[in-house]
Amino acid sequence: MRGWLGHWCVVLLLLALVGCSTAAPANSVPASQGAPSTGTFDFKGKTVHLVVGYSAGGGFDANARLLAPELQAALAGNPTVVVDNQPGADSLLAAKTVLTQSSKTDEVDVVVFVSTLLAKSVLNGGLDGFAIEKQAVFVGMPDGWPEPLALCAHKSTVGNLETFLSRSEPLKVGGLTGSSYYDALLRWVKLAGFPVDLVFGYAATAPLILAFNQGEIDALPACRDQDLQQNPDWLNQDQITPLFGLRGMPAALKQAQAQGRYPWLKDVVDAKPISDQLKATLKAINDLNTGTNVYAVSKQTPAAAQQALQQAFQQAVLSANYKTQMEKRQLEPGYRGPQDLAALLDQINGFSSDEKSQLSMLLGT
Amino acid sequence: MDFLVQAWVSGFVQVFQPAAFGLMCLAIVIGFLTGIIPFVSVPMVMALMLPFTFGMSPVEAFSFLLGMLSVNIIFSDITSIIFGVPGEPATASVLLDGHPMAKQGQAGRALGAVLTSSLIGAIIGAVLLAAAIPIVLPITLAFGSPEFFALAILGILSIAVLSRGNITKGVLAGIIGLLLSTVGLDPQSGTQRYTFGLLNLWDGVGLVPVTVGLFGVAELTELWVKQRGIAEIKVGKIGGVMEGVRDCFRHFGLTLRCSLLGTVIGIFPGLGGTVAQWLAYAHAVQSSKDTSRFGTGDVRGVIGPGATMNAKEGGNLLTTVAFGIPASVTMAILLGAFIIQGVVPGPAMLTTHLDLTMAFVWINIVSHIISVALCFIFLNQMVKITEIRSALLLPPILMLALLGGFADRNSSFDMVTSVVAGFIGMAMVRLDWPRPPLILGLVLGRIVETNLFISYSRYGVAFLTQPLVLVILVFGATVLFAPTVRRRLARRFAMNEDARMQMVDDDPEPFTTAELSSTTRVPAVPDFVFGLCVLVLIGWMVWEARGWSFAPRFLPLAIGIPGFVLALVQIGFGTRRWLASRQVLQGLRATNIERRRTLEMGLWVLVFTVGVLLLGFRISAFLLPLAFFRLAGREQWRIALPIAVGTYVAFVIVFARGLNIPFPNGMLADWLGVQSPDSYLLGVLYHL
Repeated sequence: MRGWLGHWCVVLLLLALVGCSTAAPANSVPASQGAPSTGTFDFKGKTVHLVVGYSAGGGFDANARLLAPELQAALAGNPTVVVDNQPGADSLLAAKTVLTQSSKTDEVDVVVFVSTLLAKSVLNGGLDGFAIEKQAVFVGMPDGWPEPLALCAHKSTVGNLETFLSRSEPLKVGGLTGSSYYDALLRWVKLAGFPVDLVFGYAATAPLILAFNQGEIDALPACRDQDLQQNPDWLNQDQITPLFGLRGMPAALKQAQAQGRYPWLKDVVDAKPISDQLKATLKAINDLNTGTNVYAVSKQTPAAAQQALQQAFQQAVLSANYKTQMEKRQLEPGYRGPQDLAALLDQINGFSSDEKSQLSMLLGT
Repeated sequence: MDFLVQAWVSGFVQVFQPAAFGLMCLAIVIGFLTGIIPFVSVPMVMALMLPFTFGMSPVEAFSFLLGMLSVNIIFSDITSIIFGVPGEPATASVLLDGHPMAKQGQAGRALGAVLTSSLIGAIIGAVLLAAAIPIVLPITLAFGSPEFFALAILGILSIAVLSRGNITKGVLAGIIGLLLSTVGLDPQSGTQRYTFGLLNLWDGVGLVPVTVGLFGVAELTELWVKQRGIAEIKVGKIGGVMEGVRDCFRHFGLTLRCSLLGTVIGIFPGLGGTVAQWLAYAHAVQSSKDTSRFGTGDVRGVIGPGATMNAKEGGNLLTTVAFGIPASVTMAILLGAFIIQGVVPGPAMLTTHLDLTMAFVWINIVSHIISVALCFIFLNQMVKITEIRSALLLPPILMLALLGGFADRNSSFDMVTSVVAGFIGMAMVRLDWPRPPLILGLVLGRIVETNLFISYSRYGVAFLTQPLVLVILVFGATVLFAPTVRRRLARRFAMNEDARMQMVDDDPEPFTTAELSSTTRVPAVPDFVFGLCVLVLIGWMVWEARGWSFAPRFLPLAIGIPGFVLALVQIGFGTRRWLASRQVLQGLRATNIERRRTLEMGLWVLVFTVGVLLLGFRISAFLLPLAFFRLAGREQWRIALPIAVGTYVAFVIVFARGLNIPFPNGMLADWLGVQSPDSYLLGVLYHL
């Protein structure tokens, strides 16, 4: 008898707690109630979650953690801004979770995902049954400055561009997992008729560089200023042959060229005759990767909050402190707003079906 | 050589600057407070603490971060031993013998052994690396994808060693692990493999949730079945801590060899701590004369992995510094910190900035010494946890285990995965299927597949004939299997029966004891059914793979087809035992009470899982333990209520507010508009 009494006490306590907790939202401030009459959204007492689609410690996460305090300062009401990580499916999991959820009373979720998801979604009519571009209200991108990079080969394998183009045996060029920006560029290089064989599967840029230094691959697309700085022997000991720029030209290579080295060095589209269609798809790939961190909220988020977030985001990204911190981390600051993302989507939508299928193939979708 | 000594001394001096040393001590205290929580602490705490390092000098910043890391690594071993819930996947191997020791009232001895071996491993690893810096670069550059493939194959071969007593079942478990590693997007072609269209499976089956479930949840069931504290025997004043310390020196050869193993594996980016620890465990088994106690509480099974785990940290750090390749999430965070501090990873860190690298090595050594000393001070209290009765211990640990499954990727799907793995783990324990091979297969599958395809794309099949690949395979196989072969040959050529008997006494055949036990205590029908499930699973995975292109289907077919044949063999064994069981196994089955408690615990695990899914972690952290205490444990309110409140407060303060873990509200709570009471209280505070 006493046992059953105990069980009932547990059940009653449970119900009491649920009832007590249910009362909480009724007592708390509704989303719009605390907003000042000026029309700006007041985030007082709210928590803004930056839901990053990758694990803690990576580039996306680091960027969000640097941005969080600036965003907190820029939002009216000084809300708590926290970074959550929801890795999975190349950030699609986080995007789908956040952008399809209903709005919350005291919380605003901002998802951070990779820009190539947008293009893949547009080109495929959605990803996993979810059209990200239709569900998202863009807040902006904080890393919008293009990062120049070149294709570099071992000096011992290739002496200059001419010997590369005349090779009968293709160069083994290393790539990542098959769906990264580098991989899209490499597929483009192969499609454009350059003599390359692609070796995909390296987990990140650092292992790719190690494989290059080991001689496992003949060439790599990770030839940026930061890579050249981390591997000073490449230029100082004349270990590499830069073949062409894949997006702009790294400053260190420009400097070397000004000193009379690498006279053949130019942009890839000028390295040999390339069709206009291929040039357009290369531009699209590069535009898509001019900044990779997309910040967006669900359409369910109140319009005033969307607008306030967009304004605060711009202010945070352009703040001197954020810029300094980004540069210390060798990351690329540079604001791109919702209109820039919309223009990018328009550009892809404006492609012919051939160009779309080519771009889709290059992106590995 | 002079520059090496100079840098070594300079590094030492920098570490003992007041600011750097003070920050290291502070970090150790923070790490100590958060380290007891399995799985959630290391990367999360480091990511949270990273912004505090912005204004520090490089040595100060790394004293702070590495100090926190060292204490967390040590705590991973401690939680494995005390709770049976591995602190991280790599430390599951310490659990195999460490937790049984805790059950036998020898938690103090196990902890003393693991702490001492950790310290010795960390010091040996760091000193060896410092001495080997001039040759680290060429060594690392000599190891490409073909060599990594060979090392991974070596790891797979060690599955046979980890399958002690049940070679067929062990190899099958390893095959399932390898097949599970192919779940997700194929790295070569992007083909979805066994994902059922679920986004959560695109990146594969999580190692953390599978490890938590397979070991943690299964151990909790055993704890409930026994209905005692973790320690089944009364623990002495401090449970033999000094005995554990002495064990390390008694088996100093093993400590030394495993430290070397860890150091070497740590240098090579890409293999990781999990492989290192399992290889160390396999080595501890294979290099021991008497292997009969492994898996049931042999201190050597604790010493080997403990030394390896910490010895590899120095190597990992060096790889991160010299190549910018992080071997783990924590190293990735450290890499981020390097860049913030303007430290550019690269070969220059081994030449121009060698004093800074040496300072990191010293931080590693000094922080380990302080951490271990601190742990020894509190060891008495830690050991006492093992005496708390299971009814009081289970609910908080179960909540932690569910949190461990969830927190790796902040995913409820992963939490459910850990529960499913838990049920599989429970079955494996009951039916004597070894669990380590499954984990090792899961870890090694991706390494094998990726390096196989890179090697094939680059060199064709010729990569198999590269000298270093052949050396690794031949040397590795010799080291791994020579003791077994030697024992078998010696037995065969024993000249007389007396000599043979004497040898068996001194040097028992490693598989005999467990084989005997498996035939006497495993229920035949469930064993047959489990074998059938394995057969169906492998068969289905092979069938699914047949339509894919070459790259995505290669590994599933190459592993799955032999696996299917082996599963058929196992079914044959199972059928034979089933038929024989009526005569042989009468009276040897699990007692009714054991069966009832296993079922009870299974149901409670389900209740907790569904409760968390419906009500969210925070509300559940109070209600579910309370329900368990009252309904299952029959505890009085004065005991049940404070512990339930304590669990809730810990979840809210430490995890939700302190570590910012984004706990979902729960489906029912969302639907009802229910919030956790702490949110309600915060709302009131805002009004005030």
